[in-house]
Amino acid sequence: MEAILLSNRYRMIISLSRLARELKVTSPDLITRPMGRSFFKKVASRLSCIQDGETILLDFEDIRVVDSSFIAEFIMKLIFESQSNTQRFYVKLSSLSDTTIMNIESVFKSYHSMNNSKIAVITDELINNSYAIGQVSDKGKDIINYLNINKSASAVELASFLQEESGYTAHLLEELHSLGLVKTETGRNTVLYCAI
Amino acid sequence: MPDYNRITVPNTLKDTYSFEEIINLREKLFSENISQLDMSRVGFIEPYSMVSFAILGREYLRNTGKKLTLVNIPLNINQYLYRMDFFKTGIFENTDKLDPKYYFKRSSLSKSVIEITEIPGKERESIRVISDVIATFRKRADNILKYWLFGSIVDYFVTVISEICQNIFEHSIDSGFLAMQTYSYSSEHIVRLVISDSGVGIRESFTGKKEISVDSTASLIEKVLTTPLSSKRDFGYGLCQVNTIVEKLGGSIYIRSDDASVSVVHNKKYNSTTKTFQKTNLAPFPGTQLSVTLTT
Repeated sequence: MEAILLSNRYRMIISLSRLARELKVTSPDLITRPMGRSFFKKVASRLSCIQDGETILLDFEDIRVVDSSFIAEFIMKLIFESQSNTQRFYVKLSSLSDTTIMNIESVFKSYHSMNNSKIAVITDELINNSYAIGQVSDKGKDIINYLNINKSASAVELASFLQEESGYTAHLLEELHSLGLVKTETGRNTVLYCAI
Repeated sequence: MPDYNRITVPNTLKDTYSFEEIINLREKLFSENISQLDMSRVGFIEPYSMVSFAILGREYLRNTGKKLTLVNIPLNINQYLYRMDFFKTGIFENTDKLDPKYYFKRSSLSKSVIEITEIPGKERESIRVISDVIATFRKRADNILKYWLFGSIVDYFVTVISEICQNIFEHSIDSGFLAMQTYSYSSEHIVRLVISDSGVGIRESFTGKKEISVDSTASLIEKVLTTPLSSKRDFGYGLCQVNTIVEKLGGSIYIRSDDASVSVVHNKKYNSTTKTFQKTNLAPFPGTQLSVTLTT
């Protein structure tokens, strides 16, 4: 499992450029549906060892372009898999080029417009003042940014931060959780929401 | 009486619109059993016309089993066609073989082109060729895009090449051609990427999608440029994504398929306006021809 480095118990880091070399892809561009399918197959074969609540960090360092076909076959499928897998896991993207960001934003927007269903993903860098790409409301982005700094918070704290009613905040947190944008941890008497 | 039928090709290989005159000759090629094309009047060829001309010649070869012969090719046109590897496609006979001393040089500085390249219709081979084309483009991008080098433009074009070429093996059920070139015309610098196939065309590829109702092929072309539709899946991103990128770059897209064409012109100079022009009832031409253009 050369392409996968376990930096700690809760995070699996996948270097896409290393995975590309394993798959004999020499280009800095990840393009086409078949290539996306072969990458997904490779990563999916490693999901059997994933732990509940673990984050997969997809590191795109040295990757110049990820086209929409690859995004549909790899990133989106991995996000769907993270939501349906028996072990719930989370996906986070790292070191994205500007073109890749644009392509992901565009694909997610298209998916949303055609499917009437939201899709989003967490990134490790601020992109347009947010750590998420996709269909996330401004309040949702505020929560993600808050958790990114404070690591975890209860629903009460977050409602106070947003200056919103607890019911509205709970609904928002539920949506962010179902999209894979925040994790939950059960504390002593309360559920804590955590950054991915 | 000569043992051949010849027509003279008009000097209309200058742009996407004037090439319609060549398409109008298509029926005559077959009905009058033409075997030679007199090129003496041709003064200029740009990439869209060259690639479409190749598609026309290939259709003739497939239908008749014979190659059209190009005769009386002016030296500058012959030099250009050799430089673009046009005759390597094996589609045409050329009676005016060019002496190698007249070849355009292929130094690193003259590489403002991607020569005409066949994009196979089969997935595996196609992906290999697309990767090779993109690798070539990356090597030559500084020359090809020398008037437009800003931001992520090279990566944008990589996305465009990848998305459009995939449509060939995914939707057209045939192979196609790609070419790219920077050239000057009048006082403008132009970079043009052309990707064409002679497959089933956009309208026929959507025949299984009864839920998509449009009144004309031109309307369907416009729809796939602005809506993430796919003829094979619930939705697709390719052409829509290409349109988004071309809008960012302030360029234009021209798509011709069957008997219709659509031009989308994103003009950054005038309040970032976008204008779309549809043409219907054109002479039928197989497949889909697409051109992306930036001008200075």
